[in-house]
Amino acid sequence: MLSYMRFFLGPLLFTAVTLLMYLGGVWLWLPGVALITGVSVLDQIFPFDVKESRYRYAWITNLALYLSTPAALVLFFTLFWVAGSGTQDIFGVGAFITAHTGIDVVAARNATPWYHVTLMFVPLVIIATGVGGLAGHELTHRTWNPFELWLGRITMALNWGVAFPIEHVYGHHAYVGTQKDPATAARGDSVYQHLPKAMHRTVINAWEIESTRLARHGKSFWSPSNVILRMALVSAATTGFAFWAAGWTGVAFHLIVCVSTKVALEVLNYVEHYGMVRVPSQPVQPRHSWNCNHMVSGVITYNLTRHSHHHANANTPFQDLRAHSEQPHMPGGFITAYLTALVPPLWRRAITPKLLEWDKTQADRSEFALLREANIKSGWDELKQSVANTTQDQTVIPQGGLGY
Amino acid sequence: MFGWSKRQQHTVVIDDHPAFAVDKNETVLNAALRHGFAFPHSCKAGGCAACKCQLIEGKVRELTDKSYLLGQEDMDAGFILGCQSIPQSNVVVLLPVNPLANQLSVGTLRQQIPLTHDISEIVISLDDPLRYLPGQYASVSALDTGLPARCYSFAHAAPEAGAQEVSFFVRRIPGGGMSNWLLASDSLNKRVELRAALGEFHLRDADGPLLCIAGGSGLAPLLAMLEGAAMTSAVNRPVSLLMGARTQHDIYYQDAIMALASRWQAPFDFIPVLSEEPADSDWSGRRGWVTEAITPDRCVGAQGYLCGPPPMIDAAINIMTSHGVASDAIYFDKFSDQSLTVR
Repeated sequence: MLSYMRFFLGPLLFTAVTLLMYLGGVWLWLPGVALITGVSVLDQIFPFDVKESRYRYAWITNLALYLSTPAALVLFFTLFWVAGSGTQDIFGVGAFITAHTGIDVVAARNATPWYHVTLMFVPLVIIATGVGGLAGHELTHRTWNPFELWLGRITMALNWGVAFPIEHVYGHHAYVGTQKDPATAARGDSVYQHLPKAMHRTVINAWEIESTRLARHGKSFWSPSNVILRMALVSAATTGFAFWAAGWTGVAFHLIVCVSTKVALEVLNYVEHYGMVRVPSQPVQPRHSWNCNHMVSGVITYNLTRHSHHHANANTPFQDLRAHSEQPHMPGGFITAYLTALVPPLWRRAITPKLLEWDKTQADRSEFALLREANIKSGWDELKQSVANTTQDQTVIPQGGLGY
Repeated sequence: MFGWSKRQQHTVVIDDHPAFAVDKNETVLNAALRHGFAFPHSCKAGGCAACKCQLIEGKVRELTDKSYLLGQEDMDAGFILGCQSIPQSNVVVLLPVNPLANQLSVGTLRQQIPLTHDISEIVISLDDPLRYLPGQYASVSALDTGLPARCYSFAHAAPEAGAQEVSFFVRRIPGGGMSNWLLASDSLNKRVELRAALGEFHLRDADGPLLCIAGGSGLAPLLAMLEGAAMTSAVNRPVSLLMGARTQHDIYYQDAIMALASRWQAPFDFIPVLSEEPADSDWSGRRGWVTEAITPDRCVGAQGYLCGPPPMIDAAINIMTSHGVASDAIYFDKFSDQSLTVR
């Protein structure tokens, strides 16, 4: 039972953090910070989760996934409510809370100093990515189920994630580990060097992928069948709602969260695939992603941390992803790696030994030439000790591959 | 005994291989891999189309909107994605007819061997072997440069299992992008990406003589073709290899061609023709346009294989058809030698 219930923890905790925001003041950011810190600390305390339970009742785990959509709706509603001022109180929610708890939340909101509001956006990046991006990602992979696909795209569109559902499935998964992939960061690139390139190319690629599909159906980009445009309508409606709820402050709050969650998602890609190398014609293997088996991170992210299996077989539902404990493990677990990436010198220290180990124990010989080049181009001297750089070239026919 | 309680398993047949069973909700690709069949694939997410195959018989449930990956022609022809198709009945699929198409290989530029003052042979060692028919070409791009990809014909035949090392003849062109990059000394040991095998230019089965006409770097596909033919019964077909060049300095690979001729089991005439050789030089061979060396007797029952600049090809086709060669027995590959595109 616990193995099912744990996947409900994410949407429930995120919603709890969201609801506490109605109290204003430190409640705008303290619960969020506590949650993130908690996950990071508990990850280090709990043993690795390498259990591969068999889930007979997929509808239960699906339900945990679907709950993210209402959680995201509540989050954005709350955000716009917090953005309000004076007597603004959309749908009388503030009055409702006051009537039932005796706490005058509207007054608390109006009395909250600006720095609490500013601080709110820090944990909110993670919370909004958590409710919007994680389930959205899982659902947009389920291209065979129209309802789940629709739900996933709507959830992502709430914060202007209109390129991701297209590019991720039809671009990133095809190109992962190669230079064509916007999300695979080159060795030596700090997260700040990588982000602008990745975000720009994700949008361009999504646009191209969707235009190509439409052209095949004889339709122009400005067609009602354009999935990106349809999602953009949902996004625009959300921003419109923000304006209706709290004027330009609402719009600003929405856009800050939208931009920061885009950044957050790319940072996530950064730690999932940093410095990976794959010969473009070769199949994607579990080793082409950084895996993570920290229990709490896995539970909170719908097993997104089991990224090795996800990329090796993207149609596998999240609860059935395998642990792949033999696969390259990201430094310090998910949240720790994520936070480390934000401080480039720390990231370099943490990831370098991992990269050297990857070259030595994971890389296929056929990848050595690409690795050697990546290591030299990185400008990181310590990567020159890699076996790929110190081993003589050999003619090796790769394993697997396109077997004709 | 309890047949009713056991879900009936569907089977998959790939090309003319034995059928294998598919588990519940298993895709064609996963079932094939589980049974040890080397089904082509890459991303397994419905994003790359490496696993596309043609559904000949049966029904599948498709898991993604395949129009993201496949063109209208493919969809009309019943192509599906192996990784996104779950059999709903027994199915028969064919892998794409041309297993040589859609190969992509990354390699390192290893050698640049000057052949004439402006043509060099460049040698690339590949990470994965490429298979091609002698006469076909590859689209070559340099990783990490913005240069557009260019096409070059393979200059040598490939072993059955594929070539781990490939060569191209590249001509230096003023202002040329890719070609000059391939010839620059800085480019040695740089990484390049090859898409292959492209083109319909290759040896066709027949018994008659081969009339091969090369202009400039157009020798490459013909050389590869003849090298390949030397390993088959086509070595018994008479060959005329006419090579057009400007001056004696522009003739190359003569020794290799003579060696090939000496191994040939039928007459092999190699005839260089020079168009701009000074009148007072020591050249005792033919002068003029290479097409003037197409004589009626070389055309009798012959297949024509032409490679070079478009005006040369057009002139050669006219002359050969006037000598009675059927136009469907003439195969050609037009190089735009003077433009930026050089194969």
